[in-house]
Amino acid sequence: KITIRFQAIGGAPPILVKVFKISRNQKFSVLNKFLHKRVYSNRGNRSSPEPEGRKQLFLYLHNSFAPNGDEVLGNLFSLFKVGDELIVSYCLNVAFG
Amino acid sequence: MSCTNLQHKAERASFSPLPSTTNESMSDTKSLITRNIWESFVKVEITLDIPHMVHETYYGTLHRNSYLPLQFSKLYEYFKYCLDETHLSNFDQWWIEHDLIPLKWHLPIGLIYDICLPQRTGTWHLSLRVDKFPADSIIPYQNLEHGTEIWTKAVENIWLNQIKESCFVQCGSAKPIMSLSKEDSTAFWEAVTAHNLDGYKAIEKKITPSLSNIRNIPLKLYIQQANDVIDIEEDIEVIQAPVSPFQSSGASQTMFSALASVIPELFPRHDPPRYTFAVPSIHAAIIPEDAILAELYSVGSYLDGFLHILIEGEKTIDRREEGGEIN
Repeated sequence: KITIRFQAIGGAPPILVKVFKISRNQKFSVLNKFLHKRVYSNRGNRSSPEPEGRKQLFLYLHNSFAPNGDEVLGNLFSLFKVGDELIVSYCLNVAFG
Repeated sequence: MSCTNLQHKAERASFSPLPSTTNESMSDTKSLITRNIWESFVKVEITLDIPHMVHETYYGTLHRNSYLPLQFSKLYEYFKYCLDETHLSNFDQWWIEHDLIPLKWHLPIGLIYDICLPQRTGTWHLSLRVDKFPADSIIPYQNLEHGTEIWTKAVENIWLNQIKESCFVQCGSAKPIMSLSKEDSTAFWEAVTAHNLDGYKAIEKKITPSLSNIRNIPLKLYIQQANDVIDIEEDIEVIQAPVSPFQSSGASQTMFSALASVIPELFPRHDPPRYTFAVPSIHAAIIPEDAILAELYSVGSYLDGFLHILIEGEKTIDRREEGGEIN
């Protein structure tokens, strides 16, 4: 298993628990689905504005690029980890074009 | 030298013949190989079949170093006379199928071809689909563009992020590409859509570090299980790992030394280096054991900045040698 740390950027709502363990064999797209539930649930209780239009999330590594959804987390971890964590930033809009 | 080896293998794998290289310098040879790879193409037969409406086939060629959706405008022009309004407006529903498997449009065409056709030769029989987009198995074109722009925008997004990822692998940061001028960024992408090698190389040069500054070589290894029908999702394991251009001894990293360190179970150490259980190939050519990885990268990387290398096991190799008889 590997450790993932989520980081809200560009005004995205923070999540309570930021660090998760996940199997190395999972694909990067799994993180989007996983985070989607957490970011877009209980939004009514928060002060941040409701998302407009499609509820999208954009995930980045090293605040610079988005791997393809089918890239394997274990592979990304071996190349892009910081310390012993893969840091994934998320944003409600495209942050790095 | 390893580059010359690659050239021989490339010729054997039916790349366009290269002129005699006896009096040419190494760098001329390299740029010839680069150009041959860039210009190489696959033959396709793309059929559009909608019951009671149309059964029509497009015959043509596709560049190996390009993306499927970048060909859709051509297909649109060809097929539009026989399609109705719905199909002509729902461009987010267009996709390509081979043997009932939706093709992953975000991978370079040559890579998908080599995965789909283990014999690496012959016409590729494809189907164009214009509805029921299989969003579970391939990436939706997800963006707010309208019209046929949706295809190019989707590819641009994928390509740019892969180039950045490749840049990060090489430099330890995506800064070189993120600090390109607006003009250079635009020219880079236009070289991809126009399939212009010189334009592409001019910008690539600006973001590629010198050999001694390369941290790792951007590498994706596709380990192919030996099944009769290849499903890209089920039967391919993809491995990426940090591979430095130099071994710990200081010697240049070769194809064999890299594979022996990343997948030792398939590439046990052997002196002299020799493939035993599996063989790597790229652009339909087998890569020699002693190919120097950094050189291979500079001539053989795909347009997304990665060396996409197929690893085939024994069974597949056997079948490939009889390949001509199968179809």
